[in-house]
Amino acid sequence: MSVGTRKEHDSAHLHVTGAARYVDDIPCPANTLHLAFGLSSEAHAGITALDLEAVRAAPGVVAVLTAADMPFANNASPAPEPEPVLAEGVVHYVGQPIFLVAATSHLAARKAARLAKVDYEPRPAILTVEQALAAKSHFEGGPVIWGRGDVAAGFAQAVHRVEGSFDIGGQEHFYLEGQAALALPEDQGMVIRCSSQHPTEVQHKVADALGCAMHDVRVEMRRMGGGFGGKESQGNPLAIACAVAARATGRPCKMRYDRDDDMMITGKRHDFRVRYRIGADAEGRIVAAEFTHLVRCGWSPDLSLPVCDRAMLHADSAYDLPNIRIESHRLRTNSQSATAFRGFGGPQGMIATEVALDHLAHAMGRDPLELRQRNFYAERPGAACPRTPGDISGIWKAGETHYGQPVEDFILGGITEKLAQSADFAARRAKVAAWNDANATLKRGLSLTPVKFGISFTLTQLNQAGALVHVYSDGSIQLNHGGTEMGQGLHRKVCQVAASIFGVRDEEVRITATATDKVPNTSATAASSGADLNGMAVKAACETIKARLAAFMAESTGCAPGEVRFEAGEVRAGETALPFATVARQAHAARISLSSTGFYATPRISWDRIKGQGRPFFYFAYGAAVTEVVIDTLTGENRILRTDILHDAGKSLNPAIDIGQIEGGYIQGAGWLTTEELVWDAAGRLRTHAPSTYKIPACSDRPRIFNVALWDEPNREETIYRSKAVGEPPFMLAISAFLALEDACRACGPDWPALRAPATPEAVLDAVRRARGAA
Amino acid sequence: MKPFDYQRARDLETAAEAAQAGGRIIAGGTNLLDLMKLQVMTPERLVDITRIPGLDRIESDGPGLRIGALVRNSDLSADMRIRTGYPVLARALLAGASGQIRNKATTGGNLLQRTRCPYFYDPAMACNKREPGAGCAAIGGVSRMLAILGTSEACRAAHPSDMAVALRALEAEVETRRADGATRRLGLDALYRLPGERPDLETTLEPGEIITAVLLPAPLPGATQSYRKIRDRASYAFALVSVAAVVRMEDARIATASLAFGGIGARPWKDPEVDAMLSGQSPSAELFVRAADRLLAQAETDEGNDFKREMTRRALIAVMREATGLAPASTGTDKAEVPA
Repeated sequence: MSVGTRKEHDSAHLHVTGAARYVDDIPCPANTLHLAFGLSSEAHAGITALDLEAVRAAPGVVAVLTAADMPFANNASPAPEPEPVLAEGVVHYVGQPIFLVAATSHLAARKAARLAKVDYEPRPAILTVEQALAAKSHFEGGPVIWGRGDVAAGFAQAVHRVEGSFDIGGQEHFYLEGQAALALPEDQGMVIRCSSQHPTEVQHKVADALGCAMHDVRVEMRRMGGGFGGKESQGNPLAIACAVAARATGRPCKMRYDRDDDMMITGKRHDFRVRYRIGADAEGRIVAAEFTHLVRCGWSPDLSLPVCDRAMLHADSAYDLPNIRIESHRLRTNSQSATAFRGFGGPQGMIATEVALDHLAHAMGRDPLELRQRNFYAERPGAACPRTPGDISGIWKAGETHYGQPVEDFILGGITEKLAQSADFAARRAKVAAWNDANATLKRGLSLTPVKFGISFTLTQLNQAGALVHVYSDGSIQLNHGGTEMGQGLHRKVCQVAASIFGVRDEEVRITATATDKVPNTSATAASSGADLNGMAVKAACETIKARLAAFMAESTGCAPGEVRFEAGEVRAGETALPFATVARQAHAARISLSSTGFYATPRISWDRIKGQGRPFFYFAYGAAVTEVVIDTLTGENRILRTDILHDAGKSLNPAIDIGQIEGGYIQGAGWLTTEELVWDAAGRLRTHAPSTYKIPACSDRPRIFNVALWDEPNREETIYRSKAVGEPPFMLAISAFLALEDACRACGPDWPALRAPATPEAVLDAVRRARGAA
Repeated sequence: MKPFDYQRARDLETAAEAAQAGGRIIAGGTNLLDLMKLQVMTPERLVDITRIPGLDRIESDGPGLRIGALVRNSDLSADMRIRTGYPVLARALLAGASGQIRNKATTGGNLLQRTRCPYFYDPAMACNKREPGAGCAAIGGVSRMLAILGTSEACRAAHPSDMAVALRALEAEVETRRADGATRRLGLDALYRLPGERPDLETTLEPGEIITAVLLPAPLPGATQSYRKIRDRASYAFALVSVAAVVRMEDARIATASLAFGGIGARPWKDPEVDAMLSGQSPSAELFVRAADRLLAQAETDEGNDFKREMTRRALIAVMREATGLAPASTGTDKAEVPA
């Protein structure tokens, strides 16, 4: 069976030979126009005059459009509150698109876009958390507060208490392929080819912009060169711009952001300031925890509200906290509209709790790992296999999260124990201490942190998927599903599902580009749910066809349909064994339908986001990582020396791809927490808008010793072949790298170093000084 | 926001035609535009009635007053005839919203504003008022702002208006123009429906029927009027509980009492039996407790809003003590002055 085997990415050869086609590689018709936006230079201002004469007169310019030229909706928002594609008289951040240039080349469009004369009337800009709080600049009118228990009573019992404030930087997605879209006008309607995690939303927004129905717009999406959440909503303006310009000129229109423009225009991961207060009893049981999330959301809501919700949902990290209160301020600021990014707020919610826990351990003079283990959720004894009805004994009681979801599948106790063993944690702890005693300049740090990540979209209705499967009369299989391929290997996994059901080789199955006319009304490929949702939908479609073929074979051979087996490229019924292709041909001749749709909706979930209560997640994915680092206390420079990971992908659909996701997630997370720093100046300009100033980790930044293993136990919930989602959870394994750096800083002196993220050399140096007693 | 057409009505006739054809009437827009931004309401066409002449006046109507449907909340609360003869109305208006919103909000629009139930406002949650038959996510949800009287299995929403509570206590009527041009008058009890199985149907107005005025009866000479609103912060918040009272004393007895309640009812709440119980009696704490028991006899609460029973009881007692002279009058309790 194909499922469970190690297979490379289905486009691996195309990727490495450069043959894989991305939007910008699609051969365009000869008269295609190229688009560029003219951008705001001000963080907040009224536009008093917009002189576009020089833009129109520039060589190659065919059309220039402003908000007034948008024929219907001027709205790219994924949220109910509108977000103009082109500014409507007021600009809200540096980099906001004001007008659109269509020219005969990409360069001509970009050059012309710089020739506009814009008169601004500056308005006060809200750039920082402090400014936003002072101006009461909140989305939703004020903070959202969730929690459980009685925090005041909890603190009253606490023997140990710490409090602090922790700054967490944002993160640029840095997908290798930038945002891109191409619109091809048709007799009626529009075809869009784009780089998007959410083709259905592109279809919807383009239809609104053209004043037509969704059936007039077809969106096709073959692959993205990385998405990471940055192509969930941020591609909408390009597709809309292309469609509107194509309608206005009657010519195909293509738009791709130059990297600088991409970084200036598009939203990033939310930066957070978290104020925390946490208290424990004498044994180290946490009795109260309080978090205030101060989040710079940027100028429009985009996906900020669910992102902030997810941060709140992960404030428990992996710990059963009886009394907890989380206050979440979603601040409207004059900056890019922060958006989805791998983890969707979860990483920020989780790391703040992990930092608070280390702070507490520091104050108590205890080992952080021991404190973590002491506060874990309860683990069901001996529960290594899927749950069967009736085996929930009265003795064991699942812990419950602060939002009321029982944690029935907790396995971090086992994972942590096994990882501590395989990574030789205790002995290395002693070695690190010995090294630090012996060395004044270079200090080492070591940390083990857990991950518990909730799987499902918190907006319940998004947890559905569709598929369309065809078996052709030559036995080849073509399928389509609502998920999008962004390098994560989704198509390979889904292909393995189909191949396993029909008992054929993966090569017999072809997955075609995601297209809104094949599978409609899809959700974004996000929330790690691509394989969970689409794998199940494809399974449903394949099983429908398989049942028809089994009935057909049963009839011709006289055995029961249940006895027909599909394996090794054959269909076997009693004594008869026919190649799959032969059965397909015979079934077609017998006028049996060889095509079917499939549909899946995640069971068991419900969520009241107003109350902050329910079961938003179908299950949790788990993992743990040990990271060892070294810092130079004179320069703040730092290196990750070794990383050991044990991660739970359930019964892995494809261990090769899952391990790739874990390695990539960890490195991307480590980048977020170490080298990747976004800097805005006092005028609200992003000064790190290219790889020259914004440093993502390179190959040489990976740990030289990098051991990744899978916790190979089936998901206790009935997911696709009992696998678990693997897109986002490993990102948070990198928290161990940050806390290892903090551990190294702690080796420099007696005080709490209060390291901020990202732990750039400057941040490390500041933390070392604080550890040594500097105020 | 969904794209929509905008039409400015010249007169009531064209407005009625457009409304009958499915247009949604907009006046101040202080509630409707918020709902459109959130896509809770997605009208295809807005019919702006603010340019229709003659609807923005406060005029004498025999011994009473006729308040045009387009009179702004701020103008109404500042009008001397209202301040002296109907202080409970001025107090209620000023207790609602903010100065900027009251400058835009109209009398008719205030009556027809929609509930602030958070589940109605969130299109991702089930709501029978937004989408008949979808279910009610508010049941078992956050109920602090929900009603405890007049609710149904389909809907727990409270009517949010302060103004309408005062109008019920004053026994005001609305004047409407039906689509065929005929005029009718109806009390607020006849205007508002209870949710029952169809919480999406909030009033008895017919398609194309437009509120043209609110009619106030003659002020009661010597009556004490009071509006007390209890809320989570001092301004710019909807009522958890509010009480409007118009009480006339004679010989140390309550000659007539008219009470209305906000924040607790599916519509601006009035219970004639409570008024009848109080009228003709000597004021006493024991009498007020019985009146509160009567008011709350049918109340249905859950964990999140059970406090409203006690809060309503105390608010009723406090207001009645001041209105009957058992306690000194505080801000919010006024003697109505009737022009000679």
